[in-house]
Amino acid sequence: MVRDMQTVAGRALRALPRQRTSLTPALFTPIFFYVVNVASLEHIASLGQVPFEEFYLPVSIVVVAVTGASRAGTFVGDIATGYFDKLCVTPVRRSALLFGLMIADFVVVACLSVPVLLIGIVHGVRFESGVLGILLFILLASLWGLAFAGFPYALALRTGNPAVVTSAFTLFFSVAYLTTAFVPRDLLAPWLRWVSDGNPLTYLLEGLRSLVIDGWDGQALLVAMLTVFGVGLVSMTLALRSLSYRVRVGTQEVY
Amino acid sequence: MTGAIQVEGLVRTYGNTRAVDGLSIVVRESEVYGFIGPNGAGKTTTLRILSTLLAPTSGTVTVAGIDIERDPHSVRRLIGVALQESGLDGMQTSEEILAFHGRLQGLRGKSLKRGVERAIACLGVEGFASERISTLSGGMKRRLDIAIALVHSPAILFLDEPTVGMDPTSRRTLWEEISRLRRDEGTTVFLTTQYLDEADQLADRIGIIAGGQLKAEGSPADLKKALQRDVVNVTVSSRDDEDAEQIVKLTENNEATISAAHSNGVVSIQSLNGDITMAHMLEIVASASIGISDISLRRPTLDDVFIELTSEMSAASTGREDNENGA
Repeated sequence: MVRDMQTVAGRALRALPRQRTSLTPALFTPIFFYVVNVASLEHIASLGQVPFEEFYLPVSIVVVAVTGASRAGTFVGDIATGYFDKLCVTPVRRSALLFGLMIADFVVVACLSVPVLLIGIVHGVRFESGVLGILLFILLASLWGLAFAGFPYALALRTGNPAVVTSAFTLFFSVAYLTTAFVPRDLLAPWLRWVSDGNPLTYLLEGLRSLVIDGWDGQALLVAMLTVFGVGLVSMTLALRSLSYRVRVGTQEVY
Repeated sequence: MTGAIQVEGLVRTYGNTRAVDGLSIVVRESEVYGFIGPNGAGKTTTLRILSTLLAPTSGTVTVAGIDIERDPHSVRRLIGVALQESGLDGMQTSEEILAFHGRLQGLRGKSLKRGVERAIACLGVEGFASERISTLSGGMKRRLDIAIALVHSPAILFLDEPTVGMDPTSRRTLWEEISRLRRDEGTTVFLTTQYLDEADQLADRIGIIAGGQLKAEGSPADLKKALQRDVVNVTVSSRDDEDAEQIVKLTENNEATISAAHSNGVVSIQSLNGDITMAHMLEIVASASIGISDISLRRPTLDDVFIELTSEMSAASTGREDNENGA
């Protein structure tokens, strides 16, 4: 199983340098929003002792995972061309086809997080938790990327339709702003606070922010970890069910 | 009888349509089995079931003695499959995709390197091994697709319409490779094709499927022989219709003759046994002093067998539809 996952992840990672057109927006979008939002809001959105560039940095990292770092498009392509069938006649474990790509996603999110983080540090962001905190910050962001990835995979496998997967990314992107993206919970309008309380991203952002602003806040980090685990559990269940469906029906039904 | 592939009472339905309808076949070890039939006959569905891509609705299938429903994973280790509508990952090079599939088949290190080199060599992929797949022509992709199926030296090879889109040279190369695999490595090959000359050339035995059912099975020679329809053509030197008519009348009495007709001085006789008819013809023209410029015997081709069997099927289904409409 591990070897199968390594092989599948290897294919996806090998293709990365050849897919610059899809990686560029995934890197550009969070950096763009970080730079523009900080430049626009840092003077009016100073939150007491907390500089806005520190408060907003985790949002940009979370956006990395939402703006198309996922390899779900690979699945759609494989299904559309019939290559998925060719993979299915090999003895590879079916789940390795999914988890192998997710490992690649984890690596991609980790790699894309670094330049976004560097932009933040250049802007003056300082991590209260130190170097270890930075590493945990990247790990948490990458795990979020892994947990989130299950949703686009579920859609890709279920529909085999690139348009559905692309529009899902747009939908998920809006969800990223139905939370404490710009201000803490107690400054949100009541309806948005209510939505934000139910949005798992809120707890992830609070965990990531704690590493930047507060140092080591065990409770915030534990809640963030549990949130990532919970989202991952739901998304993986959906993705595995879709995988099972796709393996059952194949890419086509022919006589 | 045990075989490399055993199919018993196989049925696959899609809604109310029975794509495969009670199919039973045995493919022997180290045999090339040609599976032919018209469009929509059930060839590809059968191949997808045998290669573990589709579950049968009912019936049993064993491949290399393993039940495909109980242990598909083990079956996949033993088979190589080149599907008709299989795309390839255009972002990889030919060499990379071969190595990738070798790894999926469990090859590592030297055995992987050997497998890739062998697959590249056997189908003439050397010329474009390091090129990105997205830049290859359709024929090159088809050859690569089949090379992928061979990378782990499978005991059983499934090929679905393998030469579609190939130029004549590539086609000939693939035929030679299939023959070599069977002869030198004992590979069992299950081949679907619509090119009857391909089946005739390659297959030890042929199964003809129509409407999801097996209509005939046997060696190409046996199938042609079973048709019992040789054709003897005689060209009258004078091109005189009276001479030709005389030959027709004299031939009609022969017990091997099914029918005889002439046109433009050429007599065409359909015969149960071409050799007897030919000998009889020579006696007739000698005794009647009719000059002939040419005499030839044409054995039935696989095309004749195919058309005979599948047109029977079409006629039967038309008749059934007529009855149903009448009722």
